[in-house]
Amino acid sequence: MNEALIAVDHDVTAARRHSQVRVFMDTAVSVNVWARVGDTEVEAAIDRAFTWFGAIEGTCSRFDLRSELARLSATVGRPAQVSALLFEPLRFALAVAEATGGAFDPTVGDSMAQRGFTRNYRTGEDVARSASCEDTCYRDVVLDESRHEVTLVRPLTLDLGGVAKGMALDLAGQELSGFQHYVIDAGGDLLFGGGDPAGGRWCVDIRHPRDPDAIVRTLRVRDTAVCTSGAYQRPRPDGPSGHHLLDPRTRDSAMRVLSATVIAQRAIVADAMATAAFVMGPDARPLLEAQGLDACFVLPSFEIVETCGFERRLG
Amino acid sequence: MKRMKFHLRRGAGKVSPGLLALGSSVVLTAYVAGWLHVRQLPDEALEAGAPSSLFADTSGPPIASARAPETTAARVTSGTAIPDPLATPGVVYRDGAYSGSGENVHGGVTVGIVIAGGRIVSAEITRCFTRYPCAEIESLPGQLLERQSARLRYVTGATDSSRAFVKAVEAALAKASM
Repeated sequence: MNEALIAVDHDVTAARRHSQVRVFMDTAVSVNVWARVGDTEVEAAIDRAFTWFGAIEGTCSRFDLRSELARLSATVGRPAQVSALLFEPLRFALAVAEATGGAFDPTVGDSMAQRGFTRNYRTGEDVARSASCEDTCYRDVVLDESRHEVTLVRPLTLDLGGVAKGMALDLAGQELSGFQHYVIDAGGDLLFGGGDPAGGRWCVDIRHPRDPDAIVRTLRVRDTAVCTSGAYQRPRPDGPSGHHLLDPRTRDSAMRVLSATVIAQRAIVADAMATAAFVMGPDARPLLEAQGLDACFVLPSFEIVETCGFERRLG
Repeated sequence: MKRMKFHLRRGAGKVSPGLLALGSSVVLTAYVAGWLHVRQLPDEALEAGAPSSLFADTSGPPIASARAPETTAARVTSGTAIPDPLATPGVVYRDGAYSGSGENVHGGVTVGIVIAGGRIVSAEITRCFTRYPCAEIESLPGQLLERQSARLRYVTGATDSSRAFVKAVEAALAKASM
């Protein structure tokens, strides 16, 4: 089920749509590229786009004990050299943590596990729930840029779920940069290249958090990413009400809004800031506006709150 | 379009970072680092003993703005017509990803390049911390791909930044020829 619906005019004669769907990060990822008939490079490019999803998942998954992230989480108190595919998203996640005063925090892995988010969707196996204390924070992770080293000051489990999908979208998008029109849909987190092949901007709907068939806003975008964090996406597996978007400062499911949508040129930014905006609620508006980002919140009252620049995004 | 300069001073007097600029830098750094792997070229093409950082050279201030090249001229375009391999007689460039930095009185530029089959197939400005807008030299990576040489036409009005870029490319190529 997609949080955002994309409407495309199918009366396009100049280019043909090439589409593939594969599953990564427990999400159906759809890569769509419009290319002229006879363009044989497009299938190879789509293949490479998916390879990036696999690479990020393999490196950054909390649920796979062989991943570099899982192995890093097991290395406490001393510097560990890590690859760029782990170092870079971690670097970004920590910068967002600092910018949001900890409303976004990649050290919430233990808290997530303790609330039942332990299942590896590919194997069905559960990762262990550690008994470590829950006052770890992003400052417990120290980066040495010149050495490419990460030091966990105390035991903690990293979770890059707030940036990994966005990062994968951007890397996949780089593979498609030679094509004029493309859309990558990772379960409702979207990256658009160019505009609608029929002309004009892509039409994107933000779905209602409670009614999957209803639409709260229709956007017109091009060359940008749109990411939504919603309470409805992944409910807490172990019974009590709640969902997967924890407020790192309280370790409880954030409740200020039902959904937050962020539009940004890079999906890694839209992904992380949608997650942070969901936790912070409309209090995130000054930060979003200072960063030049457009965002839209659906409150528990179903009222819509927008950043000041958001109107230009509406269709 | 609003340009984001990325600032982060540690300790007292912290300034909020430009997240779009940082996000672009992060994505492009990872992209260049993984470029060969995604194309399933042999692992020995990568620098031996450095599975983690393919960019060992990070001289200069630790954090700096990295303007994401937005024109296709600055991105990987391995599908375009590629001229002869790097035409420096007697010099063999090893396949791999390399980083080089070049500095001038106004700051510096760090460039990441990927060499495959003896050609530069990817070039990105991964860090740019000059006093002048880094957008002025964003055409240079594309020119580098076209010319396959560090002998580039400087951008008029941005000769110092251009020179820093060329120095960065020469530093990276020097590593590739060792």
